[in-house]
Amino acid sequence: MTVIGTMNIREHITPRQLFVIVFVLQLGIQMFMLPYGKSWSTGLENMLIILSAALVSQLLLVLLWVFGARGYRMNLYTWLTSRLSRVVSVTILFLLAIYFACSALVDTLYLTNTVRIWVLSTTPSFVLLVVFIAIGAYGAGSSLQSIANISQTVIFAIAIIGVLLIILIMREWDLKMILPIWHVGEHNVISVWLRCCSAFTAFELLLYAFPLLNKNDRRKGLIAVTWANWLSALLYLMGTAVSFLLYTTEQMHSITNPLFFAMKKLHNGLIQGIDMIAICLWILVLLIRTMMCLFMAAKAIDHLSRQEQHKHELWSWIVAGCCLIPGYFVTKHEWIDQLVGYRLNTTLILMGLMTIVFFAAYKRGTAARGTG
Amino acid sequence: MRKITFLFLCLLLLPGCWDQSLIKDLKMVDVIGVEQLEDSKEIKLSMVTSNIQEANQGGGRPQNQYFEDINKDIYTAAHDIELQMAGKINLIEDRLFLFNKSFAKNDLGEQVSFVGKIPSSPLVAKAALFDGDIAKLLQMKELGNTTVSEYLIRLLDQATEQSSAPKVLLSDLIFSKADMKQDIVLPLLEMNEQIVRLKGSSLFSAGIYSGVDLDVQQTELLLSFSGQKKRPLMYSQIHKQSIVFIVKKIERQMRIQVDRGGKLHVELPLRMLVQLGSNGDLNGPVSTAELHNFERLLSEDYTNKAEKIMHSLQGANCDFLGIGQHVYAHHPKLWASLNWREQYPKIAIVPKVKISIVDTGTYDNTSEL
Repeated sequence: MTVIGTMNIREHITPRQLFVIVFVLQLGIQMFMLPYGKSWSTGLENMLIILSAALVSQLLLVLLWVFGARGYRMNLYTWLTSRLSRVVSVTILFLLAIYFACSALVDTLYLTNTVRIWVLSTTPSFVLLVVFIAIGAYGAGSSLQSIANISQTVIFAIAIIGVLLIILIMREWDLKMILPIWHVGEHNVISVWLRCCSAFTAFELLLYAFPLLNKNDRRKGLIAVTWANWLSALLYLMGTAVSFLLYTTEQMHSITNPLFFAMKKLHNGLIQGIDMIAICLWILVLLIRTMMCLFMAAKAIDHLSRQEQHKHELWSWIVAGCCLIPGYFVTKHEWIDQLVGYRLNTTLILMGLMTIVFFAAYKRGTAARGTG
Repeated sequence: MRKITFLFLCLLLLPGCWDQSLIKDLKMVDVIGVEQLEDSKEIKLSMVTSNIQEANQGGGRPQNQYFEDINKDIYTAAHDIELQMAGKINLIEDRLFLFNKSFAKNDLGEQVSFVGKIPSSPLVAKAALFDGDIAKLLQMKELGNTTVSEYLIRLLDQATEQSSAPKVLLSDLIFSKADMKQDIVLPLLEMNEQIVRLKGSSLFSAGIYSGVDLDVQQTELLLSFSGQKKRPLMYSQIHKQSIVFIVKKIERQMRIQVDRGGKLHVELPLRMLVQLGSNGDLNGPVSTAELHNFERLLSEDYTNKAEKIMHSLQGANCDFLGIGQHVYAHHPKLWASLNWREQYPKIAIVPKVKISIVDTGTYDNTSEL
C-alpha cells in the first residue's frame, strides 16, 4: 500500500506512551465531575455503573486491538482514504475533524468556565479560552510521541489527585453513606449507563495510535490500554466514593463538582487551598486532552487529500482559530452544560458506528483470509 | 523564534493581569456576624477585618477593625459595608461566621447560601451561634490579650479539638438544608462577665435552628454517639462525689429493628473504655468491688443523660446521628414509604451506655486533652 510508505517514519509509539495518552484521555473533564453526570442514585449503584461501563470500554479496546493486530498497519485516516471512495472518505474525515474540533472546544469551554468560577473570577472568559486553546494548538502541532511525552509529565498530577482521594476515603469512610444497592430511583438506568460509557472515550485516539505500535509491542499495547482503562475506572470509583461519603444524593443535585468541595475539606493550617492545587492539576490533564483532540482534528484535515500532507501543525492552529469563533459566543453556563451533553451523545453514536464498521471490516477480512 | 513569539503572546495574555489582588488594597475579613434585629425584618451584619500594625517592628501588632451595617439581607449589607471601608472586601480568609438565634431560626442555610456562590467564598470557615449581642462582642478591641477575632477562632478550634463542640463549616451549613437524612448541630457561644465561653450546642432541623440547645456535657456525650469524640475528659456526680475520667476508647453501634407494623426501634449501644482520673472523696487505692460499683453507677448515669439527649434531639426533629441515613441504607423500601420528618420524633431511640474502667493509674499527661 503506497499510503503506508508515505507515513511519517518517526510516528511510532511505545506501549508506555500508549498507556499514558489513553489514561489521560479517558479522564478529561469527567475526572472532577461524576462520570455519569449528576447524581441519580446511591453511591454503590453508581460504582456498579462505572464498573460495567469500564467493562464495555475494555471490550471495545480488545475489539480495536484485534482489528489492529490482524495486520492493519494503517491508522484510521489512511485506512479511510485507502479503502473508501474519495467522496465518502472526505466526508467522513471532515465529520471526524469537526467532531474532534468540537470536542476540544467543549472541553476548553468547560475548563474555562470552571477556572472562572473557582480561580480566576475577573479574567474575561475569552482570554482564558484563547490561552487554553493556544496551548492546546501548540501541543497539537507536535508528533504523537511528543504529546505522549508531555502526557507523562502530568501523570504525577493524577497520582497526587489519587492520593488526595485515598486520604478523603480513609477519613470519611462510612458504609451507610454509599448504601443501599438495587434501589434504582426514578431515572432511566440505560441513559445513565450510556453517559457513563462515554466517559471512557479513548477509542478515537486508539484508532489512530494502535497501528503506530511496533509489531512486537502489540500484546504489550493491549496490556497497556487495559491498565489505563481500569486505572481510570479506579479513579472514577474513588471520586464517586468520596462524593457520596461527603454528600447525599439530594445535596449533589446542587453540587456540580462535588470533588472540588470535597478537596476543601482537606484544608488545614499547613497546606491551605488543597482544592486550588487539585484544580491546577486538573487543568493540566484537560489541556493534554485538548491537545489530543486538536491533534486528531488537524490530522483528519491533513488526510483530506489522497495522501497525508504533513501540514498538521498548520492545521492545528487553523482549527484552534476556528474553535475560538463559536467559543466567543458561548457565554452562558447552561449552554456549556448542554454542549457537554451533546458531545457525550455524539461520542456514543460514534462509538457505536465505529464498532459496527470495524466488526464488519474484521468479518470481511476473516472471510477474505479464509478464501485466500 | 516561533517559540519565543508564542511565549511572548502567552505572557501578554497572562490571566494574572486581570485577577491580581494587591494585599495593600484588600480588607481581609476574619469574622462575620449576622443578627436578626428584634421586632424588625432587618439584619445587622458585622465584619471584623484583621491587619498587622507596625509590621516593620518585629512581628508587628495584630489589630482588628470593626464594620457594621443594618439592611434587609446579607448581600446588601455587605455591599454597603464595602462603601464604608477604604479597601476591597475579601472573604476568602474569613475563618468564622457567627449568627444569633433569631437569625438562625429564619432558614439559616438558605440565607447564607449566596456566600457559597461568590468567587472568594469562605466555604471552610467555621460556623457557630452566639447567644447575645454579636455586634457588641465584635466591637471589643481585645479579649484575653489578643484580638477578638483570634480569641474566638482559637476558642472554637480548642473546643472542637477537645471534642466539646462539633466542627461545622459554612459549606455544611449551606448543604444541610438539602440533606433529609442527617442534620447538623452548631456550637453555641455566650458572653458571661466579659468572658466568652462555649455554652454548648444548638440543634438544627433541615438547616433551620430548632430553638433547642444542649449544654457542653450533653454535647460531648452526643459527639461520642456520633463518632466525633476523640479522647475527652468527662465527669459525673454520683452520690455527691465528683468522678472524673478520661475516655480512652469509644465503641459505638446503631441497631435498627423494624417490627411487623413497620415501626422503627433504634438501639444505640455505646461502650466507653475509660481511665479513672479522680474518684471523688475516696482517696488512695480503689478496690475491685469499688471499681465495679463505679462502672455500674457511671453507666446508669450516662445512660440517663443519653436518654435526655435523645429526647431533646427528637423534640427538635434533629437527626444529628444520621438514623435516617441508616434507615435509607439498610431499609430502602421502608424509607421510601416514610415521611422522615414526621416519623423521626416518634420512633423509639434507646441509648445504652456501658462504661468500663480499664485504668486507674495516675493522670496520664500524654493523653490528648
